Amino acid sequence: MINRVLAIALVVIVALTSFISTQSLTAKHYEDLSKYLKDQLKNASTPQEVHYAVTSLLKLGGGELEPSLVSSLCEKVNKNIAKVNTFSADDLYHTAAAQLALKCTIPNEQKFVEDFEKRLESILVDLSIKPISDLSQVYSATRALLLFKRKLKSIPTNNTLLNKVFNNISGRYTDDTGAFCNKSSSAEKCLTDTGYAYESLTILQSMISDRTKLLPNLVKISKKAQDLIKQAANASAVKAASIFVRGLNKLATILPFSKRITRREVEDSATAFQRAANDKLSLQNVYDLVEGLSAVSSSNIHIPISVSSIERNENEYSFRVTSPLGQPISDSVVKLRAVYPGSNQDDSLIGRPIEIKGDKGTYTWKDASGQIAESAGSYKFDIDVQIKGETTPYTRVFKTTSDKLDITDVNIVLSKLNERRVFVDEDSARLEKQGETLSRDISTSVKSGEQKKLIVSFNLKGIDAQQTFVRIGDEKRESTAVARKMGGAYRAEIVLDKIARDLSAPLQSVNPTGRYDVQLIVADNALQKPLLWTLAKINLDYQINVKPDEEGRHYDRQKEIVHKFNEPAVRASAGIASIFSLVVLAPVAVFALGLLAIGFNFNNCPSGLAGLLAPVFTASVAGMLAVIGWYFVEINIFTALKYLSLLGAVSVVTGAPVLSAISRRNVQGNALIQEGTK
Amino acid sequence: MANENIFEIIAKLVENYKKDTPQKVKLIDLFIVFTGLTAAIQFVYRVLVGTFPLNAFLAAFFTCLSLLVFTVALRKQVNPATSGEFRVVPERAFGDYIFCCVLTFFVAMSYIG
Repeated sequence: MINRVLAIALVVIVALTSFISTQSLTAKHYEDLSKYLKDQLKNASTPQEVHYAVTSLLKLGGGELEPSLVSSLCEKVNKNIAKVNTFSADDLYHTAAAQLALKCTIPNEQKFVEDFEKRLESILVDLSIKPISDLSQVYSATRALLLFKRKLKSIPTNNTLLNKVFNNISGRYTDDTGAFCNKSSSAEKCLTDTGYAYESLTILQSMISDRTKLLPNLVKISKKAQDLIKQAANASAVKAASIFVRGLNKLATILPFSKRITRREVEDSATAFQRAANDKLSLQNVYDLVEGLSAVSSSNIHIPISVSSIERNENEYSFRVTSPLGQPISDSVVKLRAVYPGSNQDDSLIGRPIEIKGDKGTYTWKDASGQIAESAGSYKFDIDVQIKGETTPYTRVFKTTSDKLDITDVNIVLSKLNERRVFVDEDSARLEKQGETLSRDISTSVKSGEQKKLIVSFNLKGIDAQQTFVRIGDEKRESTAVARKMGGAYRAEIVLDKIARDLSAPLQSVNPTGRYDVQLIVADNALQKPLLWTLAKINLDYQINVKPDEEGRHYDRQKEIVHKFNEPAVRASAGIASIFSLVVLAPVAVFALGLLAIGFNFNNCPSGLAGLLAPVFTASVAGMLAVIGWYFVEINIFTALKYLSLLGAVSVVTGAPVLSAISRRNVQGNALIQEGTK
Repeated sequence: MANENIFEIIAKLVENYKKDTPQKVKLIDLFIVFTGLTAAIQFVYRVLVGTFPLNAFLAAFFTCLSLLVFTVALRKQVNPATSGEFRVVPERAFGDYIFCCVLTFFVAMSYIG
């Protein structure tokens, strides 16, 4: 808690440092990466791991490997070469790459090469006829072909096959995206697939005898290369950026990109790798990082330049001009065009541009006037780097502090309307003495609305600090105010009743009365260590109610929620419900007794067919009622409807003749009665 | 005097009912009384105890009332004294009545839940 502001200040300093720091790999990066790769080599077990570790180490200039290590690695690489006819494209590529990197002796080399070629040929035949879904396989196959080109007999001269594979790969290009992906693909997949395609097509074109005919195709598929290289600079996945940059670099050996892609764009494409240099190490990441940076450093489009930040040693100011991999660039001419404070070049400390001679990529300029050392502020260094007749300007900012750094005229004033008490008046200390407390004790009461202020003012000499704060707090709680520069002096005003919320216990409504430190914090990226200086101790007696803020109210005890469900309906007891069930059956008894009293009459029962159908009709009606009862107990509506419709059909078919027969009989009977009465 | 007349009237009504009313119609009247009594008992229960479970009460009560109405309509169509205004034969009316009852029972069972 007490160091929270200090921590923020440190983060800003680090961020600023990395912003203006070197854009190439530093010596520390080299050291860490080389050490990591050597460790990985000891544990590498597959050809892919050996390939990645060895090639990355060689590109970093990691030195010769011990012969015993080389032979054990070769053993691991050659362990499964007897099964080369089952290898995938990736296996072929990694095996070939690892063998070549380690210069392994291959047992039964002739047989191995023959089997290798057969297997590669079958993979290429598949790639020539089937739609290509995974461009990484194409890449691996073409890389394996390139690496073993001198050893293979038939494939490098098989123009038909190579042309077919070339056309099949080109067929994946779409005008919609200008790349080897469709619109729904992510940016990273697009970069990866396009990088694979560029490199594979370039390799194939170099082997096909009638290669000039393929140039228009290559020009067409690289139309959007300039947009894609900008995407690579912003890619969050280093693998995607690495694959694209390598593919583009390969394609640049055939096509002239120098007019379409600027040097700055090539340099910016190294950004993704520079970001990754500080990431957690993994073999894949390191391989992609090193391959990507190598491709950028040895770009066939423009030679990218990395200009480091300015470092100071007394009155000498130096910077490095290197490739993104951190290696010096030969044939470069470096001129220091201007050194000036602020933004006005006319204030340059040097009258005219000076050419500086470099020493292994490091260029040094001496400030004879010593002006930079005496002042505090920012100085801009305008640097021109000329390579092959092309000049590119760079600007680097150097932040400086004076050799004499002081805090002077420190005043602590407690003020209220019509009242002003001064506690510290014109005290001062050198910045080195930040550990001392001024031993001032201040006591005051704070009432609501009286606007009592604690005003701290001071001057800073020898530094133009980026961050100046005044802190009131203890180990658990604090309130911080920014000290703003007003007319040369810094001033912070803290309204004591307004900071009560900050000093109260977090999220609660505790009165913040207590003893606190009044501290001054000064931070700047030019300072190695931020300053924390306790100016005084203050006893605050708060006579106000501290109400919780929005967040505090959220965590406070809330009003109890009463459920809003419907109140359960009044229910009869089991006894009453049972009695009711019996009472409801009483009318059934009345009905039954009434039936007995009225009597039954089956005289009108029809005869003949209708007589036979009458029981069926009655049974079907009873069946329908039974299905309805069954529906209540067990079955669902669909089953019930099914049975009801069947029984309904039966009752209609049987009921119609039965009721018709009864009706005819009644009509005939009535007619006879009427005749009889006549 | 007036009370004796009422009892005499009622007795004569019953006697004429027994004599003049066809057996078929008596059966129907009996069924009407049955459904009416059942509906009345359910209503009294609802007033005394409450409507829980409401859907079951509604289904049962209105089924009884529906049956009562259908049966009254059947009586009108079957009774020779009143069937003259209808163009359907009593057997056809009975068939319609069965259909309406089955449908009512099915709906009631669905609503009971």
